[in-house]
Amino acid sequence: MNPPLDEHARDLLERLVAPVTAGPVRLAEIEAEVARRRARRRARLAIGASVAAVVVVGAATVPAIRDSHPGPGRATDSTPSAPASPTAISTPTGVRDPAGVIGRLQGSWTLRLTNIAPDGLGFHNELMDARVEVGFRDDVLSTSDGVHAIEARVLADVLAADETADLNVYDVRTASATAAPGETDPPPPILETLSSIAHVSFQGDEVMLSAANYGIIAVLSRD
Amino acid sequence: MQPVTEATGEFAEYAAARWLTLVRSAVLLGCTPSEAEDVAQETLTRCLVGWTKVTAARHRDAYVSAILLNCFRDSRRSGWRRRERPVATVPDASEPDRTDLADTAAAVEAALGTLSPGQREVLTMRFYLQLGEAQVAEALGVAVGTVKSRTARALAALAADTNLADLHDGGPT
Repeated sequence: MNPPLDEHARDLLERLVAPVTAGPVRLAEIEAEVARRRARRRARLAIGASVAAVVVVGAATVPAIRDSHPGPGRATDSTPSAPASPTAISTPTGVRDPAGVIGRLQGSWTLRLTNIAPDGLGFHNELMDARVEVGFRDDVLSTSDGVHAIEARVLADVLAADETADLNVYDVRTASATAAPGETDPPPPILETLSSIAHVSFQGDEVMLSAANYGIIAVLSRD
Repeated sequence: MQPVTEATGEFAEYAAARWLTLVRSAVLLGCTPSEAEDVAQETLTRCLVGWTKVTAARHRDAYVSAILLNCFRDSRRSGWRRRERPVATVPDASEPDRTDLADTAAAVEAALGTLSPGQREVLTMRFYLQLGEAQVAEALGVAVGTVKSRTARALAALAADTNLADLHDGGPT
């Protein structure tokens, strides 16, 4: 018996697999499976990731708003986690931004509300067509365009590889139903929108803010 | 995130070109033909998930062979077969009569069955996928010397296997 040389090894292996045939590669199944895996991955990251934005209202502003608009029934009054006092709202937490979420949000933006309701369900509301200027400086989101001044302190923990991260906004009860001083028109539902934001994603030059069901309820652009 | 469709063109070409090789490589590693298609399918799925890495690899086929090996090893773990997904249409399993080839294959398969999994992996990658020793070492995560020793032992085992004696002497082909 001759020992199989290296060049014979391939021949042996070829003989073994010669009868093996295979149907055509199932590309559609592969792509569908990849899409499923990416969706599952996004879902896992949405659960595990945490980018929290705590909306705080300036301490000098909050009492005035409360005094002048004490009426019940304001939608934001039902926020379970609403703090009992302004000082409790504005607890400094520092900047945690290992994934660069806050860094990418720095500067001035035009926040454009889509006609998707704050809960992510689609229905048209003319108020939703509003645009307001918002800005990020360090970990503070602020806006005073058409509404009482709002400031949001942002914590960024994780940005997913597919550039979608959680954004959880809470404690936005204070000024949502009030117009800015001197304004006669109803205020745009900025705070309601902010309070419903669950995810943020970066798409080109724009930042999509979406509700828990991924319905895009606002878009940030550099306009 | 790179949309799937962006990679589809190049990926589709690569998948079509390598599909049968991947299936047959899985058979050489120890899969049945039906299992081999599942392993190859899973390999290509993982390739598409990380297509940018695949295309950026110094040696694409070596990189994909490492994925194939991982998929094969996963398939040996319990529960993997339960994750098989049903398909809408069952592929046509009819084949021409290849009795003689099957006899030869059975002899080779019996001989390969005497090898250790590591030796079988090395043989498949070196002589069927035709990867270099360094590429095999990188794919397996072992030293080049380990690849050489496994190769030598595997070839020696095949040389001593009586099932292959007829093949060496001009038996069935």
